[in-house]
Amino acid sequence: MRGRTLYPVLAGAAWVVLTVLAEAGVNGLVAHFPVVASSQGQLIDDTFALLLRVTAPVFTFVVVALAVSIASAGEARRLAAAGEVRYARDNRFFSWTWFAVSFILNAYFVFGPGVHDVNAIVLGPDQPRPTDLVVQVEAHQWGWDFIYPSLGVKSQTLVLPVHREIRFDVTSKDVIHSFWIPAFRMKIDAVPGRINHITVTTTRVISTRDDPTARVQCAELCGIGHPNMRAAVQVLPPDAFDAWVTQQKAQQGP
Amino acid sequence: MSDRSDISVARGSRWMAFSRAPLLRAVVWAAAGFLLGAEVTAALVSDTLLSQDAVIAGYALALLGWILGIGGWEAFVVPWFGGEYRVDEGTGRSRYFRFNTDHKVVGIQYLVTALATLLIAGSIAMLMRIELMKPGLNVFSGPGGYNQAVSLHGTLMIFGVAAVGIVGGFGNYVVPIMIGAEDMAYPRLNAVSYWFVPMGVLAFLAAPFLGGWESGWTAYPPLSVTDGTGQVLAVLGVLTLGISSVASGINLLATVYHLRAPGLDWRQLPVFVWSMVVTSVLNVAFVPFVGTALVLVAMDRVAGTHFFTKDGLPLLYQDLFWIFGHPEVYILILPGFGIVLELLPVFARKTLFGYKWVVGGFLAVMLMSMTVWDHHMYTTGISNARLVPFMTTTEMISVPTGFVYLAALGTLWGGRIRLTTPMLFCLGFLFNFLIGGLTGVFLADVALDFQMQDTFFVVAHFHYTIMGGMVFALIAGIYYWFPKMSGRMYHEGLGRLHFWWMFIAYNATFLPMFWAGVEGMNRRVADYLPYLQPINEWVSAAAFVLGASFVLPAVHLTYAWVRGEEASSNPWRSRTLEWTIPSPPPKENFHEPPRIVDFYDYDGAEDLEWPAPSHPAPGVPVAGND
Ligand code: HEM
Ligand SMILES: [Cu+2]
Repeated sequence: MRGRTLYPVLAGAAWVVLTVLAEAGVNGLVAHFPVVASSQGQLIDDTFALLLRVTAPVFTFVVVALAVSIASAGEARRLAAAGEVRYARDNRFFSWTWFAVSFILNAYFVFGPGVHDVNAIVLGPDQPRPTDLVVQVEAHQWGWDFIYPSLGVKSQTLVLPVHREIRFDVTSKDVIHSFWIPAFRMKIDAVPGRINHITVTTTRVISTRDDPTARVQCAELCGIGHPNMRAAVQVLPPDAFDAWVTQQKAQQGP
Repeated sequence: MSDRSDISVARGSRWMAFSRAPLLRAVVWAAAGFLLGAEVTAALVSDTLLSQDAVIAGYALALLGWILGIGGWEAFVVPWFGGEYRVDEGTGRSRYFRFNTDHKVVGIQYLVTALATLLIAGSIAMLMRIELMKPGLNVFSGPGGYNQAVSLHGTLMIFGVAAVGIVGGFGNYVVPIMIGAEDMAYPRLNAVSYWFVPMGVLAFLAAPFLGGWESGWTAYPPLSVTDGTGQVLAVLGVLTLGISSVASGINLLATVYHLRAPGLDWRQLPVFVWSMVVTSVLNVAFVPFVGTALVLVAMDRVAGTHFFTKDGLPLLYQDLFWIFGHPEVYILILPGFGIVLELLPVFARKTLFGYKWVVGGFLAVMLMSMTVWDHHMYTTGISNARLVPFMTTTEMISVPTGFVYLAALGTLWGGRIRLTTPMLFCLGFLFNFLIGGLTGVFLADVALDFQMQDTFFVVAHFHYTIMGGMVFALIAGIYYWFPKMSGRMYHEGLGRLHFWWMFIAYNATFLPMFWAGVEGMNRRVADYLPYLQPINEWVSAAAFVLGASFVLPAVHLTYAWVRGEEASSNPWRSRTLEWTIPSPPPKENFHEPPRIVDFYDYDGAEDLEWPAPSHPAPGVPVAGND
């Protein structure tokens, strides 16, 4: 009889302890996320952290249930040997609670962070929205061209001003590529024959030289040159950015 | 390949001897078919012998020659013209190398083929992990070698292992017996379904000789329209395996629908049979989409149709592919759920908890899996209006998927658990798939996917579901049904060693991959920036330990199949019907009509003594027909 109450209590305690540990682990992971250099990226990291925090107790619940079931097998055997057992085929309370909790959790994932982030990151209808700066991105096998139509500049490295909202109009000349900057946490495919948009708000001065996650990386398999289809990124203070534009114009001619 | 057959020797002509080695005949006819098709096409279109048009025509005739040669001629053509069905199906070991209509033979053929393919594709993964140990290495000859290896590994694993392993292997072997039938509904269709498989796998394996293909298992155009000639072989291989999957899906559905023993109601069907039913529905309904998509790719390549290039729509392919592709991943995992839930009550000596939740969950997953495909396309620039609906369906599918855990935990709690090898693999499945499933919640989130899509986070996620999930379940099934299929026991200590070795090495390999993705390692790259080297070194080292773990069961189970101790008819004290007949079962399965009981009623069932007493219990029949 003792086991009947012992093991649920044990399981409850183990669940609490393990969850506390897991949450501490999550904090450790979050502290080690790579540098984030855009406001959208911050949002994505926050959601990542949030989902880690919410799923950690689910993970520990299942693991504890498995472990305690195994640990209490001897007790179960004794109980069964001692007398008749009738094993439950269902338990309304447990099953419906399970159903409700999993439903609510998933609904929360969608209508909490899910929808919120979609609104914040891609916004409404499909037309591009006005921003501080537009950069046209042209992918090809195997390299990138960045064109700044409002500035009359074309470049092979992606140079951006900090604290600005920048829209990328992304396309490809041949196969599908994907325009990804890990430090911004944003990517969008470069599809031949169409122009895709993403908007990024830069939040810190950073460059590929200091941090390799601040790079343009092709993320869609595109043939032999795919792994090395990268471009350097530099996010500059506004005056340095202006200086760069002037210098480029001088080099590229009118 | 000893042949103890005694029929049809009488005439003794050379021709008969030849036709009694059908595998040889199949190879010769296939080769002749290939040469004929390729030569004629090459001559007509004045191309070279190994141009893509020639390869397509050659392959089509090779497949025909192969199927007719192995026995399709006697099984289909001769009867069509009024002759008798006279296939020499062989006896003993030779049955496995022939056109054989016994579902148990077909099941073992599937299983062994899938396992061989797993070993080949796994070896390719080892080469890939060597390449990824350090940036700047080049272990594959020539550029593009890594892309070809990824493509080959992924395609073999998905279509040659995961899609056919459990469905073809245990679906065939176990389902008819579990429902008290003598065979599948269409035994000849079943035999021919199997013989498509080796040809499909061979098509993939032959691709490197034609320059391979570089577009991964997903074969997105325009890349798949412009890469090497090997791409057409990939297309043909998928089509071949696809035909086989649709045929075996129809067969399984017809079998369960028509051949259930009297008194066996749908509400009593073993959960494994239910998992085969929903999987088969998905196979029949959705494999045609990938066929369509790939045929259009092939036409873009050889006929200049531009469905997906130039003025065509490259993204249309992705929709077609994933309309198939997402149901496909449930085609891979639902059988795994079926096996695990089937085994848990046996080794927990406890009634299956929540049977109705499980079956309801399977059906809900089946339906919902049709509605989630755009989560593979969040970053392709699809209309914003598609984002939230597909995120909703994708997150919500984890509710019915969770019912598997509801049932598993409810069954295990308070159960008289015995940690036998099959049980360990089931528990390993529950742990691994938990990680795979929970990380799916992350990828379903549109915003997070903008970061994670096409990184190693995804690679880790799907290996956790397919390898940590489906493959662990497959192995659980192999140890569980091994005594039934071979009539012999494996060595329990070696089985457990296998589990712990594989389980630890598996997690050591794939858990860090999530972090590699977070740090910015994208997938399908032969090379990466130096800051990613430490984590890749670790992953590679662990992967080699994992790869080595496959040697143990390969040797152990082969040995046990020949020399293992004889198994009793029911070493696990299991209640489903396959355990009421001898090990291995006689050809017609049941000598008398099976008695239908409640398969999961372990109330008052005796404890499972394990390790089992080393001699079969007296009075239990042992002999089968092998
Ligand atoms: C033996 C252990 C295995 C190892 C070490 C391994 C390793 C890998 C690696 C390194 C990649 C390539 C990642 C990239 O560069 O994108 C990969 C891709 C893949 N693997 Fe595995 N794998 C193993 C087993 C499996 C199994 C059992 C399956 C499924 C049954 C599987 C299915 C796939 C698929 C579908 C891909 C994607 C291919 C593509 O990108 O088109 N793998 N695996
Ligand atoms: Cu690219």
